Amino acid sequence: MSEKVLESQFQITGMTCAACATRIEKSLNKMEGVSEANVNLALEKATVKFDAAKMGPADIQEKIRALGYDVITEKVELVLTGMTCAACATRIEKGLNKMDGIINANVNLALEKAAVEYNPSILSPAEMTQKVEKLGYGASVKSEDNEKETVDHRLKEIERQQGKFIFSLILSLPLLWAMAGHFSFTSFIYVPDAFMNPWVQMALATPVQFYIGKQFYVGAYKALRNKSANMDVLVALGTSAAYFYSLYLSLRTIGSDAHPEGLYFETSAVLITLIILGKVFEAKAKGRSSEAIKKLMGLQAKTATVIREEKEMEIPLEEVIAGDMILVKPGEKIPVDGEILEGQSALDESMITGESVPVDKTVGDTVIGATINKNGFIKIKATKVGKETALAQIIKVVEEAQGSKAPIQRLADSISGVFVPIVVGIAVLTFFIWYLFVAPGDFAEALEKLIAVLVIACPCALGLATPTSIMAGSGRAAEYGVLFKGGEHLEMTHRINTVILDKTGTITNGAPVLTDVITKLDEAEFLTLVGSAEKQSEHPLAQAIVEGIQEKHITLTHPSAFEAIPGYGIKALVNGKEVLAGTRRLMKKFNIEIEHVSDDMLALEKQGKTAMLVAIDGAFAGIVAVADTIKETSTEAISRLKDLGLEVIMITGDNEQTAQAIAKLAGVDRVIAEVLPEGKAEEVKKLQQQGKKVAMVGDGINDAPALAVADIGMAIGTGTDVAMEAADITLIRGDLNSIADAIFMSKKTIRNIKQNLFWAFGYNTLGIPIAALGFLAPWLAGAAMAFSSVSVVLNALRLQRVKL
Amino acid sequence: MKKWVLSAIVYLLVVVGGYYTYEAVAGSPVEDPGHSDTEQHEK
Repeated sequence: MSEKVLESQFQITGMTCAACATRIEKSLNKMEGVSEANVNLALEKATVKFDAAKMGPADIQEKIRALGYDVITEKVELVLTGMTCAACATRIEKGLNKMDGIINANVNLALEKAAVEYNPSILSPAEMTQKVEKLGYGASVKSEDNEKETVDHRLKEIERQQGKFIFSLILSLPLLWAMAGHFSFTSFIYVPDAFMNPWVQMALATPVQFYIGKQFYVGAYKALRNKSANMDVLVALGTSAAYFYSLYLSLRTIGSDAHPEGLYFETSAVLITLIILGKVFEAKAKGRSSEAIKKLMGLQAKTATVIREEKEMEIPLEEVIAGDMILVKPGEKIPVDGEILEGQSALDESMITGESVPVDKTVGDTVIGATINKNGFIKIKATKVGKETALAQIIKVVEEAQGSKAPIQRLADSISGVFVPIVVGIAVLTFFIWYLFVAPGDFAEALEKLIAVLVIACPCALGLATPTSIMAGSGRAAEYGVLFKGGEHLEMTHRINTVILDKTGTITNGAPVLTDVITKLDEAEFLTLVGSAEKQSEHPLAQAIVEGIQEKHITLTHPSAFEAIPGYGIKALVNGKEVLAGTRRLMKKFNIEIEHVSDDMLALEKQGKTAMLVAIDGAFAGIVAVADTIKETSTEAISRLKDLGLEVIMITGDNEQTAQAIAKLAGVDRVIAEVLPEGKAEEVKKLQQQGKKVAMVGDGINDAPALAVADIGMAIGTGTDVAMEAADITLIRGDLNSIADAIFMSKKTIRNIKQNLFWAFGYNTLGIPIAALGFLAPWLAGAAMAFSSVSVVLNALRLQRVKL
Repeated sequence: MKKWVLSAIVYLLVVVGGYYTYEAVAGSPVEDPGHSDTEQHEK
């Protein structure tokens, strides 16, 4: 059976720490048909590559649920038309169920509706309606804002955790009060009798332990059932030890006059309260770290005014299909990617390209969805909709990068996987050392140390350290138009020491423009004749000349005769005058004397320009030169790269002389010229063999192999899709300053990850011996544990404020 | 949120009220309920 590898993403709930993520990842990777599974704790997302011939998304979902977690799917209701019998319903149902990404589809003939449960990362409702329409029926999406539901779900969860925290705080405070009154230095504090009573204490601690703390027991049960351990196991063990030991002491005193001593009801309750508080902070911070995606999604238009059957109608964005005619009024957002059919306007594309100056667009020009139509009515034809649009692609790349793992995280994952059993071992050992040697026979003392070790060692900070930084770092970079395709690229970029820049389209604008006019005639008259003659030519250089002349507001006329002489130039009759424009060979062919301008020609060519000789009525009249100009920002950007200590190399297929001229203007010291397109990858490899970490920056299809071979491939966003596909980073702005931005952001993120790992490891490695030696009360251990997670997340969030 | 606050306060009042009711009915206040020994916490 042939292999059809698909990639699906699943939103998972119920993970509490890195150990959960590792467990799911391992189990998925063991499934037959799964080639790669990656679970991200911070994003709560699993990315799975699997063989569609062997399994479907439903199997993966089932596996995740069997492990004790849940998968968020979305539900949509389609309103169907055209069904006449049960067979129609069955046909639609089968058709939908065969689609990749649909978990379950149920068609109700009587209600004329289809209830579809699907994976939103794989397909959209619009694709479902298209499928139904292909089957010969009508379908539309019953309005349901799934995105809003997901956000609501998260907000509800935060609210629920906050409620739980308040509840356990109110019940824990009296226990803390009673405890505070027992220290010799706090004996002046009045404590009501009721709070000193063991049964009252038990009554207050019990709902916290079993109602609020239920989530830890459930989490621990799920983990143990799958033969692994997570932070829930540690919390459940630690608090249960404190609670049940206190309960045992209380029960032992029933029927006797003795009073229990060494109760730890307040320890278990306060611990749970603090851990819940940590979870509240963590949930809030997690929400903030995915802000980049929310911002990008917020750019989308909600509705579009389409013209169908000659009627204007406003429809939800999801229902726009490719080929629709769309009207966009001034001030409105362009709903989808398309091409202008009528009208002209200036478009603000800053949200996509970062370019702040509005771009003039007219008939035939392409427009990007989510950009703003500033001042004119335009009618566009939708060319790309749904997940095909530029914005959707950007969101996808950012999401994937945020969900991917940097190699540095593998270390944290492997450690947290074995951490819990080791900690339980250390805790038990601590207990026995205290019980047998340090404080022989003192069960309460030994138990207290065991609880402290169990609690301080929760590895949640370790699990959050890397993914939160990757999320915040790649999100912030995206806001500046730098799209990292994965965490590994974010990590690799800071190691780069050599940058190879493609010339055309990367350092230069990639399109020739008129640069020089040399003539002894009246310039306007000269240009009128040259421009009018070249107007008929389809040669790119001729077009550059015509555009350049038109920009000078010179009106061109129509030549009464025109002849293109391939390899030579053109011959035209304009206003009764014979105009020749072209190479030296053209002049020679018509016996026109050009010896006296050979110095001018050479000077222009040394500057990398293409000079064209012009003769009017058989006499030399002047020279026009065109050249591919350097982008305004290139020189500054290259100097920034040099300041960062990087070696900058320009690679081009041009001849050495032209290449050197451009390199000199751009400030590049080293040039590799006359390289055939297929030779670029070879040049990259040669540099790598010299031990250099190479970043290749390019825009064209011919750059794709070199982009793929380089340690980091950066594609200019204004270039071709092929280049962007092959690259590791897309620089949306097309401005070379983004290279330095990408390196800077990578350095910042890696530094942030290292700080996080240092703190997370620090908490655990320092905390455990301190707790084992008896210097840390259990409630303090709980507070430190909660603080460790919060501090790691807050540190990662600093990346969101990085200024480039 | 209100629901959580309210139920916690009601529960706390019921427990404390129950204790004082029991104390009043049984007539013998629970002496030195002894949450714990001071030394434990001072260690």
